[in-house]
Amino acid sequence: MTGDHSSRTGDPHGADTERLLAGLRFEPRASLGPEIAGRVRRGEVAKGGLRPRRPPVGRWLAAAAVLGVALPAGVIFHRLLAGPVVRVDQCCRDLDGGADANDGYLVHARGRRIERLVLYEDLDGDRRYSTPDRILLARGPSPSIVDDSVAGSVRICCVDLDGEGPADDGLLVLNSTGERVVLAGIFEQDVRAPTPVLR
Amino acid sequence: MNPTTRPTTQSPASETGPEQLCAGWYAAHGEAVYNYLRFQLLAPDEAEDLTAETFLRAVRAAHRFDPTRASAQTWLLTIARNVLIDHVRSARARRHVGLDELRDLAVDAPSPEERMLRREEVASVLDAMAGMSAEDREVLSLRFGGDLDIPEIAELLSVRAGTVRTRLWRALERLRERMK
Repeated sequence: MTGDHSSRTGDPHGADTERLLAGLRFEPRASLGPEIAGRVRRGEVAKGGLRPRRPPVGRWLAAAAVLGVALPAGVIFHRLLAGPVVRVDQCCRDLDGGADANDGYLVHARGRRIERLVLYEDLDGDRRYSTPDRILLARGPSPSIVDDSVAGSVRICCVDLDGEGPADDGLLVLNSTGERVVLAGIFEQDVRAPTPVLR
Repeated sequence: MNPTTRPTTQSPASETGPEQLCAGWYAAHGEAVYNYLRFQLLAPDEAEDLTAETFLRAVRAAHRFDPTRASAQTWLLTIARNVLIDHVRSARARRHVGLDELRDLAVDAPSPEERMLRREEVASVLDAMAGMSAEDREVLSLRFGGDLDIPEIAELLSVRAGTVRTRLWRALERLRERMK
């Protein structure tokens, strides 16, 4: 391990630093475990990280009424229950079957629902989706095939794309000749489902 | 924790209640999760909040845990990593570690002077780590806080073991430089 590095380089300070870290231990307070178990017993669910909290439903409805926003209540409730939008932007890989690993994917997910998926070629080299980039594919909530001449596929697994916690999501891309993307979908590795469903 | 003594599997939520499942996971891996987070946070309160969030998320996602793909500890540390990433996105400005924020430090030094020296030493380590890159902090915390070995870290980060060794060695070098 790293001790090998320290002894190999004859660096006593490096070994000291490693020993210091190896001996460093913090003890959580004894009541933390029972406290967490109690929260689970009471049915408390994870907040999904420390993202900004959703405002109370009543405040939303009052604001909507005051402003005269005529959004259907069903849409508001659906959005509130679905949670905040999680945005993941990953670059760079070869997604279009070209020679270069210069493609990225942008995912907007709300809960388990994929709201937007964009595959792009990172033309300006900033390793994220930005205006100068070339869009290879852009879709909404449902995957659809735009061409039937599939030349190859790219499968990326496993990362957390929907903000649910574990890194159990994957991206499947089908591409055709000429560096074209014909289908892209998100799937989840679920031990109960032998065949992952494309979202 | 000795890796050979770790429980490798836990009963899925369908076989035991979520509370028992959570209690079992916490008993086996709570300290590793807490230390992984604590190595990267400056206050025990933050580490406690994020530890609780990690286990709540784990209970919510228990049906997805597959012991054939990863150990419970690696899976829980993966969740803790995502919890930490969310937290860092909204974290306030960095500050220095105060000695009163080391109340959770395990110290077995016999004399008060030695205990004080130990606390100062640890405070300087955490201060130095807080100024390092997220990648350096992460690999050091997984190895020394989360108590994972090189192959387990490689699996968690989806990189090769050789890459982990290199990152760890460089992170230790940079930490040593910062502590000079």
